[in-house]
Amino acid sequence: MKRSGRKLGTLCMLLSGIVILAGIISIGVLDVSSAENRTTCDIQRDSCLIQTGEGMTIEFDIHPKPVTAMSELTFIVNLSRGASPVTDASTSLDLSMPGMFMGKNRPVLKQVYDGRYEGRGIITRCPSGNKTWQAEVTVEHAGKTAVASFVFEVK
Amino acid sequence: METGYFLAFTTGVLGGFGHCIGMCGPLVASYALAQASVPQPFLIRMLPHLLYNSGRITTYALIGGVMGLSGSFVNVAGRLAGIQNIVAVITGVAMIFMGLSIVGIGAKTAWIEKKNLPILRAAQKVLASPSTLRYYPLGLILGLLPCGLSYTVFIASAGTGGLFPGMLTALLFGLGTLPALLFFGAVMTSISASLRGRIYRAGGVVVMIMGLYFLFRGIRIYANL
Repeated sequence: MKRSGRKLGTLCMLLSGIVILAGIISIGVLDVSSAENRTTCDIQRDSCLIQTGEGMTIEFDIHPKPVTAMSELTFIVNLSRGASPVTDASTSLDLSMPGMFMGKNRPVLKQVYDGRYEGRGIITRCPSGNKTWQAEVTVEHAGKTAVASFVFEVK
Repeated sequence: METGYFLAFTTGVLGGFGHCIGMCGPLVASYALAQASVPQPFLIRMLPHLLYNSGRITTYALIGGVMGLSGSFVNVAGRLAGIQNIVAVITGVAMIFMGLSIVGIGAKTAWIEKKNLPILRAAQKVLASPSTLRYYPLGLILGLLPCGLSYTVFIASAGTGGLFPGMLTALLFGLGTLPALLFFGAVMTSISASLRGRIYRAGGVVVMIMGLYFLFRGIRIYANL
């Protein structure tokens, strides 16, 4: 009886180690942005800008300011190539917290006028006190996909 | 709609093994260590975990239902925020006292009974009661602890625009978190059953440190409001 109890305890410890390791790895995998284009910006003051290798400019912004967690926000993506807005792209937005799985948070973006895509959503608060978030914008245009990551802090 | 329910469940599964064990594992560990060290069959020792998680998931479902009925995450979350912060602070205090009890200086906390505070007396009743059933109301209350991951699911619940869809979304999320937390609880229970003496007391010190962390978290969130 004692032996089987010890074996069960050892098995539980081994399995728990595997589970915790899998959890840590999964967070690490989820945290890694596949974006070639990544920038850290002060979203509280101004919009964020990334120029992709294909010559597209992706501008990301959030209103109203200050950008606070747990409030209704408007997410804005402006796409342009040179001076011309990109009007025929398919865009999506994925909000995540680097290093912490917070579930899928993907406000739907719709084009409101030439090259400007908007969506409404909420950035949740993490009780850990972490205020760093990442917005990953994926743009599909002319058969190509560009991904831009914007890292910022909320209040 | 079905995609949303599946997503809520998988969010719970993914979140359970990463987010939940990391953020609420200390809480599970604290009441597992605080359990009586009298040898019992494994399934009997798992009963508190089943009851605690049932209470927690009940609270999620209720909040999800309210979110769905109101259609607004921000309004409901705003009203809940104050309660959640109080729960976080009380949880931290309770864990500190649990840790003191494990370390063996529980008698010195008898002074708390002289304080005529209903919340503390209620908390003591829930924690000190010999009945295993107390873990269900404990789960109901601690399901109110603020959690970024559950907020994301509650946003989805609000988006369903209905009481039952909102409730079902949050319920499925809670069920998704169950395997991870039950497993972690089983491991903690196994450890606590085999620890005696100084190692057990060291566990009490760890529980107190974790309680201070929860207390600090609750106060910090409150200060930010």
